[in-house]
Formats: sequence, C-alpha cells, structure tokens
Amino acid sequence: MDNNLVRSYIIDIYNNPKNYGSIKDYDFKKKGYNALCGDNIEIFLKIKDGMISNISFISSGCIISKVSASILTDEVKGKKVSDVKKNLKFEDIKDKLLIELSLSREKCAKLSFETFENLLKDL
Amino acid sequence: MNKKDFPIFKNTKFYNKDLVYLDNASTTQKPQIVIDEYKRFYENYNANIYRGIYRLSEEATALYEESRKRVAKFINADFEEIIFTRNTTESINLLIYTFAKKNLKKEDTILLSVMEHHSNIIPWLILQKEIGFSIEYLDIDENFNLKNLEIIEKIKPKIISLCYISNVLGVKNDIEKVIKLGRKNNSYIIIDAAQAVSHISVDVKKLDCDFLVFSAHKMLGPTGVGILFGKKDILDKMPPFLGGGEMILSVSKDEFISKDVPYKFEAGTQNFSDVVVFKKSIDYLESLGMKKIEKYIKDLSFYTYDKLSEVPGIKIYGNRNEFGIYSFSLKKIHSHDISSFLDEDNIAIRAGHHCAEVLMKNLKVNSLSRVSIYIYNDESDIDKLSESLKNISKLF
Repeated sequence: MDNNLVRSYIIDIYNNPKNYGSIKDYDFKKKGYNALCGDNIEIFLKIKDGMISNISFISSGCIISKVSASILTDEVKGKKVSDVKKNLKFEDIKDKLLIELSLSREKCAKLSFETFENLLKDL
Repeated sequence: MNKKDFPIFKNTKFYNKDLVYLDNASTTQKPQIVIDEYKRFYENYNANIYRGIYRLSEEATALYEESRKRVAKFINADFEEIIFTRNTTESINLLIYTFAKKNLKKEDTILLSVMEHHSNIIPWLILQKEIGFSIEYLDIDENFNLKNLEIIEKIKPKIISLCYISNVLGVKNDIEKVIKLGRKNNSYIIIDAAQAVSHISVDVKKLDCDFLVFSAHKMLGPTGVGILFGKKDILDKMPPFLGGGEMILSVSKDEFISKDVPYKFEAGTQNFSDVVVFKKSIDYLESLGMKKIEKYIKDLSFYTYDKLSEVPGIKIYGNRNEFGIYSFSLKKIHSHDISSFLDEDNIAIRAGHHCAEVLMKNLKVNSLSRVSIYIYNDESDIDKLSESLKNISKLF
C-alpha cells in the first residue's frame, strides 16, 4: 500500500482507537510499562462463559503503542479465551499494522501484546 | 561548510533520500582525512605503545604523544595535564573515584545544576551513598539560564561541577562567573565541556578551571577517546584510578610506585589507534578555524531557530542560541513518533530524555525531540527539517 495511505490508516486508528477507556466491572486488569520510552498501558478484561466478552485499554505513549493496542483488543474481543491463548501471535498484530517496524519501534508495538500475555497468565 | 569532506553524505541514501544528520550533540560524522588516518596507522605504525624496545613501537608511541600535545595545545593546557580516557563519562568518573573520594567529607557540599547530563549526576549519587556529603543543584530561570549563582557564596561548595553548554537547552552557562565565585570560596571546579569544545575556542588557562572533560567523537574524532584536563599540581596529588600495566614505576608483593602524570592515570593497553586518529580531527577543525566555525554555527543556529518557529504547534525549550542545539515538542505528538516520521525523509534527530531526566522533570515533560547542528549542515538541511515537521504537524 502507498506510504501516505498507510500513514493515514495508522493515524486514523490513533485518533479513534477501538476499545479505549476502562471497564467498570472488569474481571481482570494488568499494567505494562516500557522503561525505554516511558510508554505505559493498562488493559481491562471481562470474561463471560469462557469468552472475552469485553476488553479495553488506557495508554499513554507513542502512536505505534496505541494503534497496536487498538488492533490487539479488536482482534481478541468476542473470542474464546482458550483459542486466544493457543493461537494469538505477535506477528498477526504486526501484520495488521501494515508498516515495517524498525528494531527500536518493535518494542512499542509489543507493549500491549506482552501486557495482554501477562494478563492471560492470571486467568 | 565542507559537506563534501564527509563521505557519509555521499554514501548513505536511505529511502533514496540524502541524509540530513541533525543529531550532532550525540555524535558527529567523520571527515575523509580522519577515516584515512586509520588506514595509514594500521598499515604503517601499529604496535603497542611504550612497551616495545623497537622502532615500530617507538613510532607508535611518538604518534600517541603527538596527539596528547595536539590536544593540550588546542585547549591551551600543558602536555602532562591531558589524560586520555574512554569518554567524557569516564573522565568524570575518574575524578569522582580519585579526586572527589579523597577530598570529600560527610559535612561537605557539592554543587551541580538541574541541566547536568546523567554522567555528571549519577557518579556523584554513587559516591554520596559511600561518604554522605550534600548535593545542591543550581536551578534555571524562565530564560533557561542558571540562576542564583550567589548561592556559591552561601554554601561554599567543596566542588562545583557544571556543564559549559547544555546538551538539551543549547544554553552557554556563565562559567566565568561561576569560576570567579568558586575561587573566592575555595571550591574546586569541574567543567563538562562535551558540547563546548567542538563549538567554541576553549582556553583552560584563561578559564582557570581545575578540571575540564570532553570527548573526541563529538568533535569529528573517533569514538572511544575521552579527555580529562586537570591542573598539574592537583593531578600530582590525586591517587591513581585503575591499577595495571604502564601506570607504575615499580611493583613488589606489598606495594607499588605510580608513574608521574599523565601516565599514572592510563593503566593497561591504551586505545592508541583512536587517540592517534583523533589528532587529525583537531587538525581538520583548526584548518577551518574555530572562529570561523563559531560564526558558521551561530548563523545556521539562528536560521534553525527561525525555521523551527514557523512550524505550527511547536514549542521550543530554550532560547535562540548560538550553538545550534534545540529541544522541542510538537503538539502532543510523542517524540519517538516525530523521529520516526522524520526518518521517512532520512532526517536524523534525537528523541527521549537526552540523559537529562532531572531537567526533563524540571521542564515538566517526559521526553523532547532535539535537533543539533554541526559544520557540515547547511540551510537546505534545515529547510528539509522544517518542511517535514510542518507535514507532521498537519497530520494531527
């Protein structure tokens, strides 16, 4: 895809992220922090009948970290916890970002994924 | 100014675009004559210095000492007053673990400023844990200048350790006044000149500081070479730093006798190839002339400030300065994102806290973007930067 189109796709998600905010009656939550750039995130999770019935996040940081969190939460919402645990890979999120991540930016994209992985360990 | 002397600008075309390198406060590019000197040294003179009783080692030693002489002359110091370290950070640590450790007592106070680089804060905090002295910080006023210098008269700090030019704000501190006040109150004075030596003529005799530290790689020279200037009578009284080969006159099972300065502080095989090459970068700077460099950077620095100011939503943390160092925020865009966007145009700037978290907290920001220019930059670089920033600003 054309560079400018990718850019506007990313910025559009950044300005209107999915699942942004907190969930009042969450079942689980987890914080994540990237000491290198000061990015932080908190993910909230609601489980019903073994399904991720609701998920949200609050973050402060760069575009990549927020957009990745939007893509991640959108990806797993409504799915079975067991399926997500088995099948979710960082590459799937990375592919949907549509941009090539430099080494220094990959950690930004990984913040939400790793925080979510840690959260799954609590379930 | 002489961009053609720097091969990286011919060779590096990421994204098929010319490189616009604006991270010079971090490290500088190298001119061809500096790069060529590595080849000349390794093809003709490579041998361990001091050790060999043979011609080749003697030639290598002579080149190494030639560099020491060159550095001494460049800042108007004496030959024995120049000690080679790995970098500015190591030069400061050397002082802290030898000079400061020997001289500071629990009841003493030292004086730093909020704009110091981590390398001029953390080693002091480490030593403070051991000895327990007090650390005071000079604050900055609304114009980003150090304020309340008169506090020196009140607290009579045993040691004052300050940067000459801030790596974040681009402000030049009134070091002359600090030294004058320090002298009146028997303070020892350490100057972190990492950002200064490449930009202005520095004369340690005229300044009358006790110590001055800087790095070769920020002045067109190789990485891995730091410089510590110290007044000879003070260096003489200091204990050695690292123990090992070449810093001793004699050793027995129970004791050793150190060599005289500067050798007392240069233990083990030195980074002699880089030190030899460093001479060429000073030769190059002097062939251009420091006065001419000062003027060139000053003009381009003002131009940079004016072009940055045109960008909608920009906030510059610092004044229109003469040294081409500007930190800024742009709307609410994270500094890492700004760097990534600029990188798409092959423009390299710095993002983050610039090893100055104390200052970042003082300015109430988490991170900033920083542009820093040097002699090979020109107005077209700044135009590209300004254009690219305007495009980024439009996106948000």
